[in-house]
Amino acid sequence: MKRRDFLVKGLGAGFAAGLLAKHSNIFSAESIISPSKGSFDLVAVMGGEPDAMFDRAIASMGGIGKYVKKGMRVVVKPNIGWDKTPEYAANTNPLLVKRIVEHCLQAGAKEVLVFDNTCDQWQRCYSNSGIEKAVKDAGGKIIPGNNEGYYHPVNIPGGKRLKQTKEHEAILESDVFINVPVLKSHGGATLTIAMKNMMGIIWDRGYWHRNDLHQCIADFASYRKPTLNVIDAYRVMKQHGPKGVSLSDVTTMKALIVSEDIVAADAAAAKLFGLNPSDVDYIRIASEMGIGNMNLEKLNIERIKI
Amino acid sequence: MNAYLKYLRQGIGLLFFITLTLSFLGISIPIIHTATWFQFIPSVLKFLTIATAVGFVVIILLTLLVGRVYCSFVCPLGILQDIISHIAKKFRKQKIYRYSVPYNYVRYGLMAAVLVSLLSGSIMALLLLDPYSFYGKIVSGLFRPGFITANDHLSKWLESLHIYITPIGLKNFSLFTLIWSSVLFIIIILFSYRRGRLYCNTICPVGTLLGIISRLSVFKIRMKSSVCTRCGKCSSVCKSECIDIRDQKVDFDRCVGCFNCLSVCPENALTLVPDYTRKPTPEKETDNHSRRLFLEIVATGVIGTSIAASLKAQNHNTSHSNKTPIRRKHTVTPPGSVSLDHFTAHCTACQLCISQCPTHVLKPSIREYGLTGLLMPYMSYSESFCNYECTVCSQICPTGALLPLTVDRKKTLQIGKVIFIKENCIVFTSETSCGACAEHCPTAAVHMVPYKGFLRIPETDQNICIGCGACEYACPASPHKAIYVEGNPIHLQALKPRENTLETETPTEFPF
Repeated sequence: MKRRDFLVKGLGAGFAAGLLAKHSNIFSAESIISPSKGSFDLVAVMGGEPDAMFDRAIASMGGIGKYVKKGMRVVVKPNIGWDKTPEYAANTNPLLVKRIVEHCLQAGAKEVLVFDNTCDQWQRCYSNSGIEKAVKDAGGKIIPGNNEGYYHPVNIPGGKRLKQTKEHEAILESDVFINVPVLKSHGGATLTIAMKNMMGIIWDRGYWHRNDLHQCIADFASYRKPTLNVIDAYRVMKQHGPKGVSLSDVTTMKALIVSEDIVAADAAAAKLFGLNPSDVDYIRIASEMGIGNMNLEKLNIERIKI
Repeated sequence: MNAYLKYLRQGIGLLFFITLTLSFLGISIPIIHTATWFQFIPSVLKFLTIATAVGFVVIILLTLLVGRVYCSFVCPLGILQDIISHIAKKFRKQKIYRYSVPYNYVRYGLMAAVLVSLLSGSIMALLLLDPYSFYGKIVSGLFRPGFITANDHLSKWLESLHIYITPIGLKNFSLFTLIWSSVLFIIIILFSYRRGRLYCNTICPVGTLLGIISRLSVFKIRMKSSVCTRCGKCSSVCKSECIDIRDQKVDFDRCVGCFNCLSVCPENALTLVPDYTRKPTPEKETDNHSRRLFLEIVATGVIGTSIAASLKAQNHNTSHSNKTPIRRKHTVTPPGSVSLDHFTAHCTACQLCISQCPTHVLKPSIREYGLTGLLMPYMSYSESFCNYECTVCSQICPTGALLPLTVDRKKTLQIGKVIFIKENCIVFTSETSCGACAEHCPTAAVHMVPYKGFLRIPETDQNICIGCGACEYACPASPHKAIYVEGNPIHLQALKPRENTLETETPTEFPF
């Protein structure tokens, strides 16, 4: 009996030690920056690697612990829409996604789910974007978004054109929803950033396209407000978006924007891209609807250069 | 030793059967290329364009050595019949097989019809009778939709338990194919329920052809009349019903090489031996008879196939809307098919590409290629589109109807051209933003240009379009789409997508 106990305990301890070793990077002191009071409306970072920029930004926002409490279910929703590798910037940077998942788990999240309702064949998107591996390496779960059965009808009370749509159940069951778009040009919507990224948590996108795309994007943002918006502008697709054709469409900007206000986040990203926020119709509409604030002068912004 | 042959047959047979079945269900199996390389009819067809596709030569040599082992070791339809009759044995009254005479009129007639049909340039007879493709239609058309539906329901249910498995998604489902495949499956059940391999020895042209070749086999199953006690055990397990106990003869023409008889004979009277004692006299009579039959039926075949060819249906669309319907002049054929003519002359509609396509853009045709192209795959953009970097269908095609492509070649291979119908476009009709087509285009052949105010409308460039159908799939206009792909009857070379360098500067300071 004693011998058996010893073996069982020994195995358990060994397993735990292995786990610690595997995730040791998230316990190491230098990667975690002690959080500030977090009174900023928006934090913008420039000049670092995607993961390092997120470390700095989230610390300025008050630390991930402000949003993610022990035992919570977290959904991280990057843009994984296209069967493209990271350097084409058609999808969110996998390093950033990985870092966010690590932060959430370290804050004690029960589980961190990642998905997108992709445009290209979903398995190829998940794997070629590098996001599937990044999420698994970080200890999160990458879940499918390609089956209509996962989507349930929800009402949009404040919607002008969009009154009802079907939303993925992972979002409906989540405690925390972190929206992680990539900043890109977009043939139809001018830019795709945080509000546009939410088209990946609903089922019938065609309805939005048929019924005034800009209004529908704003309508949905009036209903679903992410806990946090993290905009990846490390590599930015400046033309031929959202899918892109070649590497000549992409520029390296090395920037990141974090905000609880989805309209402010989109407005700041539009500026980075070189456009006025009001040039993007859904940002203007959303601001007018009072969903958020696109007047960046009126916001308390932290600007960090690495 | 005798029983060993039967186990060898079961082992190899199951390997082929399982590989092909899983592949037709849509699962990716690495050894599928080997399993299809040996399939007789696909190999013959592929040999016409690719000289290394000599699987059928191996089969002929094997037949010349030990008879029609192809039918029991390699052919999935044959193995399916073995499985059906094995299960049926438990239910049917008559538990044993008995010797029967061959239906030579039907056998040789059908084989002649296939030959005549091929000589007259139509693949239709093979499309209907090739046993490998026959099996593919059953699994892909009937069992695959069930498999996908079951998998997706399971995945949905497991998600409620927070367990995540891969949903597949039933796209481009065809009810007609389901019904057609069900009929084929019922036919096979009816043939094999009581009579074992009756189908293989009556209908199947490959069975008949290999039967003729097996007359020259070096090794044959022979009955030593001096040792045989006429106990009848061999005959009772012979699925081909070709062992005649009364005359102590084995009709080796019809023997499918299952080796059941060898394993049951208590006296070892049945053996697979080199055929030294060739007795030409009785067989010659059959030969003459067959020859006459063959000629008689050639005429019927010619008439049959010409009727079939004349039945080629015309594409026609009806218009009853205020908007402009899509009028496609040519069906879009899969990448690697070279041309409409090459494709429809080589495809046996085995459905392997349809099952294996990761985006499910391929759909079995009903009228798209006319009656003679029934169930051949075509690009159906209503529920999906072709992935820019994928070449699965061209790699997997066993008949050479689709020739292998590299990813680079595929990226500029134009299977069709984009056509924009402005009066159907949402930007034109409702004056709101859309751009779903341009969003999905991999080459920017569809791109957005300034229209009214801040609105942007699609513009197309056919030179760089490859016809993947992403725009057509994504177009949300209804009832008629505003953009579609017109098929190229001969596939062309598209120009490479344009690379224009960025003019804007990347900010180094915060612009806010």
